[in-house]
Amino acid sequence: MIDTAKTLPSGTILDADICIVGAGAAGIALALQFADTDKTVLLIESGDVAENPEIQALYEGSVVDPALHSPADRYRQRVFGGTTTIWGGRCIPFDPIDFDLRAWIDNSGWPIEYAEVAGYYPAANALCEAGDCDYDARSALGAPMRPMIEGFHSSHFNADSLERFSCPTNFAARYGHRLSASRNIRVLLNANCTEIVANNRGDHVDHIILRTLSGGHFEARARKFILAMGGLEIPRILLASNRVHPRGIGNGHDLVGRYYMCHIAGTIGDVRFSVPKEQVWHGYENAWDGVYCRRRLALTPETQRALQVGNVVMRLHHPRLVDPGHQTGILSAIYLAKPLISYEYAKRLYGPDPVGLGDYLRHVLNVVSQPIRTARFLADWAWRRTLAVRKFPSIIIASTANRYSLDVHAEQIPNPESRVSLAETRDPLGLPRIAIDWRYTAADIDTVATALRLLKQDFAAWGGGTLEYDEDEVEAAMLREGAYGGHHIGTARMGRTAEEGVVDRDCRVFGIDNLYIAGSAVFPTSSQANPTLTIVAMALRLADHLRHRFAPSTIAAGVTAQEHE
Amino acid sequence: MRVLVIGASGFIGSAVTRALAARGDVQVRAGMRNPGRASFDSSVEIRQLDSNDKTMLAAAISDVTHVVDCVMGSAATMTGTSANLAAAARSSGLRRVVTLSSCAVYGSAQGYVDEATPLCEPSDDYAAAKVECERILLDAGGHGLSSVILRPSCVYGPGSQQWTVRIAKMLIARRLGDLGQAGEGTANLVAVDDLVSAILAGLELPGEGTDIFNISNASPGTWNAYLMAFARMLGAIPVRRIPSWQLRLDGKLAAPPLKVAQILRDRLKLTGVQIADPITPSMLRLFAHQVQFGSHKADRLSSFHRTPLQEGLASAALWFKEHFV
Ligand SMILES: Cc1cc2nc3c(=O)[nH]c(=O)nc-3n(C[C@H](O)[C@H](O)[C@H](O)COP(=O)(O)OP(=O)(O)OC[C@H]3O[C@@H](n4cnc5c(N)ncnc54)[C@H](O)[C@@H]3O)c2cc1C
Repeated sequence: MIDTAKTLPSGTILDADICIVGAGAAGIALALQFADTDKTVLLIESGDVAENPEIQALYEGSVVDPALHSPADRYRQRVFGGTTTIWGGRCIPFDPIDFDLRAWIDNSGWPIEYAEVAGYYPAANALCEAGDCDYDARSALGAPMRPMIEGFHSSHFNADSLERFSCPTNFAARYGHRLSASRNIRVLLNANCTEIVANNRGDHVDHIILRTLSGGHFEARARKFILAMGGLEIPRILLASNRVHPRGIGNGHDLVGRYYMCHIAGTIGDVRFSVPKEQVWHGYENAWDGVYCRRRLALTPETQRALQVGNVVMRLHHPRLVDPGHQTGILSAIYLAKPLISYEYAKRLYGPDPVGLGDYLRHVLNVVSQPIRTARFLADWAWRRTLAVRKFPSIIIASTANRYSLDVHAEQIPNPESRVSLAETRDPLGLPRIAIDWRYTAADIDTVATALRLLKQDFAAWGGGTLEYDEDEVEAAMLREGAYGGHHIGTARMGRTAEEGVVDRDCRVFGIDNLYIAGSAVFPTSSQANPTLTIVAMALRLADHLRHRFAPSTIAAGVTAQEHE
Repeated sequence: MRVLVIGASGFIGSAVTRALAARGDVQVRAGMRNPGRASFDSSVEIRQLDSNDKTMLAAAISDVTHVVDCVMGSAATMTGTSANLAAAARSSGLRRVVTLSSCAVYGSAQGYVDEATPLCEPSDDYAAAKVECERILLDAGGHGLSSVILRPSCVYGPGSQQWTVRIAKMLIARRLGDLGQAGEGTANLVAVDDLVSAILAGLELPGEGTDIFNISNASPGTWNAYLMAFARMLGAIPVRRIPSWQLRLDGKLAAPPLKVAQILRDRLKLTGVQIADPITPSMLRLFAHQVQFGSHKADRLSSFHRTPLQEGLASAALWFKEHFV
């Protein structure tokens, strides 16, 4: 059933076995696992079916350094479906090394084994509509896949490591009908959770408070509560819920909001191949089920260990778009389309630097001088992207000059100084806004610099191409657009003990017997991978845990004994 | 055992006739309107038969012990056959009739549906006719006719126009593929060989009176899973995700003219003319429909077997490629 809080009488007390707050990737994936079971599920969502600026504005907050991090209400959507309504769909599992305790990275190591999450990747892949869970170019397509750079082999990089693409699937549009058909699930839209209220002992959530923008006020009671509001909103609600816990729920050890990670990313370098350009391929291929797959250059775990750096991947990329010197009509056409492109996508595509009139005219000239090639590209784009459901993932233009840049996506190490906290100001519902103080470290930059240096050496040793870049520019290039948007990681990290983490290995908040967290907030490390596939896998794992806790044997053994263990 | 198969030239009728003939211990009479089309083992007796003709049918069953009714046709043909069969059976030594009904009798029921589920309003003429046929046989049961009514779900496999040939052509033309949300309905399917095994078991099921069985796969997946697996086996890859606008265009705009063209072709007997099958509104409804036809009861039919979907699809794809590509 899909309901709205707008028409709910103020003062209503809602009741369910499981109450999930936030209907994005995590919340919807979790709720679906209980469809048509005997457990009643209440899925609380702030947004409506369509975007609404007034609701989106509840995400506003302050950013300490606006050059380093986008505004708090960007790169996340407060709407049914959450940020999956605008995501790019890139799916990549974490690597085993991301879970290891790495002596050279402070605060690394997950309290759970990689296999405990990996077991959920196939089902997560299916929910994300990213096809078979095979991320190895040698087997994934069922047919040989084109090499990225024919003849180039390096012991430092794995070029068989794939990324796969979701449609990109909007979880509300795709699964809303299942939620609405399920008798035991109730989705409540337009309901904002504004406080988590614990009992007097502080070891159990008694209820949560919900408010609507039109002044409605409700309570939701449940046996289990799961916060799935995204990596920035989860620390906000935990910190703001300070009625019983003065420092905020789960914050006894000052960990909530700290260790905030995004990714270190940017484009850099000038790659020139001397091998024939047919031997270089940076585009996509379709797996049998239509899923777009693409190779990357992934720094091997052995190299990471040997050189004591973090995890990182690189992709061959088109030359910088804003510079009309590329003389490519298509790239210039995309440049000229800038006013049509949303903030989130424009930011990385164009970068922050303004373009003068002269360069603008050179872009126009590029387009008009290659009308046929440009028109063909646009027609293809319309068919394979605009009109398609499974969308062609990104702009791929084979270089006529056999020249590319590198697109880098690297792990950020966990750093307690990088943090989200509460600001002085409040939103219209009375909740303190967030203040984002994202930081990066020299170690983050070193990971990228090391990878670039190795690739440069490896190209030189091979002889079929060269990589040129300015070592002193690495940091600036990686920070040109600031922290990678949309990946909000680590703000309620998982730990072995309450001293180490906000949640335990089951994603349960330490010290509270019925409060759980779903989403990238619990990831102790950030990997090279985009987070959503792992968010969904972890949500499925959490569903299994909850099912197990609810199992008949548990009840037979005495609910109270179990619940307060 | 002497068996008359009515509708023996059809897709299921011919498969049953072949299976019966292969047993060696059965005398098989293949009743069909057009004997010219038959190609059976020489042991099979071919009988020209219009089951709507009362006297003709009475003569055809006068000396057999068992009848399999596989008649497909207009509503009047199907109900007429049942009525004639019930009437003729009274004055014959007939021991058992096995008749093919359909899961269509459940109409638009949702959720888990088995033989104990009451029938709701039939959703089309075909379903209404099948309900009527069942009623006639149940009535006849009161007068001593023992019949086994089988309600198969979608029958696929070698020879199936609807669920193998038509679907394969649409997959190859990329008119079907991964349907996303539109393909999340339950794919209740039965391989033709499995249905034949149920029919044979029905002939020999001990007991009297009338009994009804759903014949379907035990744990059905989604239509998407079926479409994608079949496309893969046909080599119709990469499978395309079909946007809902395309399905709607195909189903709403293209379907009516295609249907009219097919009818014209059949009227004018232009057999050589190829006209694409329409994606009908009822097909689209089916692909999204959430219903599972429970068939546990069919396990009582001794020789009934269930071919795993992957295996069934593989043989369907192989047969299709041999005959159509
Ligand atoms: C432009 C862009 C591109 C991206 N591309 C990729 C990609 O290619 N690959 C990838 O892996 N990831 C990508 N991401 C990230 C991806 O979108 C997120 O990782 C994912 O959506 C997070 O899921 P979630 O359920 O944790 O949070 P969300 O999807 O953000 O959902 C949170 C939900 O909680 C609701 N909510 C918040 N506060 C409250 C409250 N107080 N009360 C009630 N409800 C509340 C929100 O309205 C929202 O619906 C991208 C993000 C952006 C912005």
